[in-house]
Amino acid sequence: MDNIQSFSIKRILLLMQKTAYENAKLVLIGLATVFGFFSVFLFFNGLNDGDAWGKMHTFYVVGFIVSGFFISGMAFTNLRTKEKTMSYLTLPASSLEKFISELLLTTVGFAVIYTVIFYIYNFAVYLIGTPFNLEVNFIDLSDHWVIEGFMYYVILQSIFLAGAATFRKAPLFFTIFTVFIAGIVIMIFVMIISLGFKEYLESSDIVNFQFDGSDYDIEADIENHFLVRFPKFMFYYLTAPIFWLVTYLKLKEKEV
Amino acid sequence: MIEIKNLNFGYKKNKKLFSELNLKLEKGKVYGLLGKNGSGKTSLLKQAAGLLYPNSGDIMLNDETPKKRSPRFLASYYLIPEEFETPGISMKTFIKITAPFYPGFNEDEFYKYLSEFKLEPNGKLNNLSYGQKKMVLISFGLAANTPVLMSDEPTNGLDIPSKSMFRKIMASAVSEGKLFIISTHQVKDIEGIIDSVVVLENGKIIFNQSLESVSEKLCFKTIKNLDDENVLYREKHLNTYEAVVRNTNEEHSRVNMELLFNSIIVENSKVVNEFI
Repeated sequence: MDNIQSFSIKRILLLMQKTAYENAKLVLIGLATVFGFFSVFLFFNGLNDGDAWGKMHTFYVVGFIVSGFFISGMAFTNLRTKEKTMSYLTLPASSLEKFISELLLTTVGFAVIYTVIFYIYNFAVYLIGTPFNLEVNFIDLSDHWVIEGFMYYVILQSIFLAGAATFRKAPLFFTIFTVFIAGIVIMIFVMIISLGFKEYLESSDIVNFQFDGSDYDIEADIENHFLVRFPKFMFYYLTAPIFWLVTYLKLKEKEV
Repeated sequence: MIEIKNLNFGYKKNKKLFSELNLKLEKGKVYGLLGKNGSGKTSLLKQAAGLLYPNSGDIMLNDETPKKRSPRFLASYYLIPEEFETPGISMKTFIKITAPFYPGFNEDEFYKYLSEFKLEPNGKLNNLSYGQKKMVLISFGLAANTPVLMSDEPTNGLDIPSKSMFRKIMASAVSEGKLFIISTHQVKDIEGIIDSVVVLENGKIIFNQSLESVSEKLCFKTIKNLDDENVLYREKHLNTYEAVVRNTNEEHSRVNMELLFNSIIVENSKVVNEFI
């Protein structure tokens, strides 16, 4: 027992292996649903002008984000019931290792599996579309769409991961519901702040505020303004770390 | 090996389950943790396993604090819960993905225990009955060779031959360096396995003695005469009484677990006074 380290890469890989084995069916069903939906859409689009067949990068990004959130919402499946939670929490691995394994599986692991399957699917679409003179393009992983898509996915996925560690029942639904409520609260908060800073905002070069909505104008240098840069910074650099921390703490403090 | 000092815990702030609870369990022994339904047996095991956190007080298991749930701590015990869910995978896959977390796991021992329970190692876990799944967990827990094995109502769901096999397997698995805790309200099921009795009632340890000490102080016999002042507790059976009496003549009798448990619950102060 004395040679058991408090942190081990090997244990993280074992945890990933365990989760993959236990959830393979669920992941495959999720991916089959997404690709099934793509196929139905492409079929009907092919009967018309077939322009969607040449926009595989859009399918890739949309499918990646939708199925990724589904997978992330389904993360920590071992926390869904009391019985599974007991078994998961008593498994000899630290909370940090358990968190990292779920994070890696739902980001890097999922991205690799999804991309490989998408390439195969893309090739199948090409083989089917070519005889019908449908122009099919291949996804390019260096495309800015793909890179930005992955970046947004990692940021927003952290919220779904935290939701999966927080809500025992229907985490996907409750996460979306909570985000929706939080969005409304933030909007109200921003509106109140805007009203409070009305005079400043009106005089500044950021926005020419007209509260009747008739002359809403955004200045060219809006991107560099503090009131825009700060929320952007918060979103890009703080969202994921904050929700990862929340996920880890939820896991660490979990009792059953 | 397990030491609990001044444990205070309650699921609700104004309703305490454990109040200043103290308990010390040593290695090399098999403890029967007995108590009525709702007495706090499962909660106590969960506290020791780091699944519940105390409001105050200290718990140590193999010199580790359960609350930290460090890998070393978690690998030092195996908990067989009363209720469990198994994944929809084969038994072999279950071993492949779970056993590596337990450094002392012995696969040969696992299959040996399975065959003693007359279970086939093939097939999916989900296709097994509740009792069979429990046998798999018991086999896994024993083969994990952790210094501490905690089992919560392990005989629930087992048929009569399996209960008998459970007793046999547990008795054979006991060793010097290990501590087994068997929590149950079915006291007859653990006769012949345990060597110490801990009784929990209303969140307090009301009895904690070795069976050797029990045999020394108490005698379990069938009596007809109720006038005997040494009778501490009795239960009527047709024309006779099953009784717990003071062992004044250094008699040796087989400990009747059910009678002992009932006497501790009903005549607690009388029975406990014999051990002071």
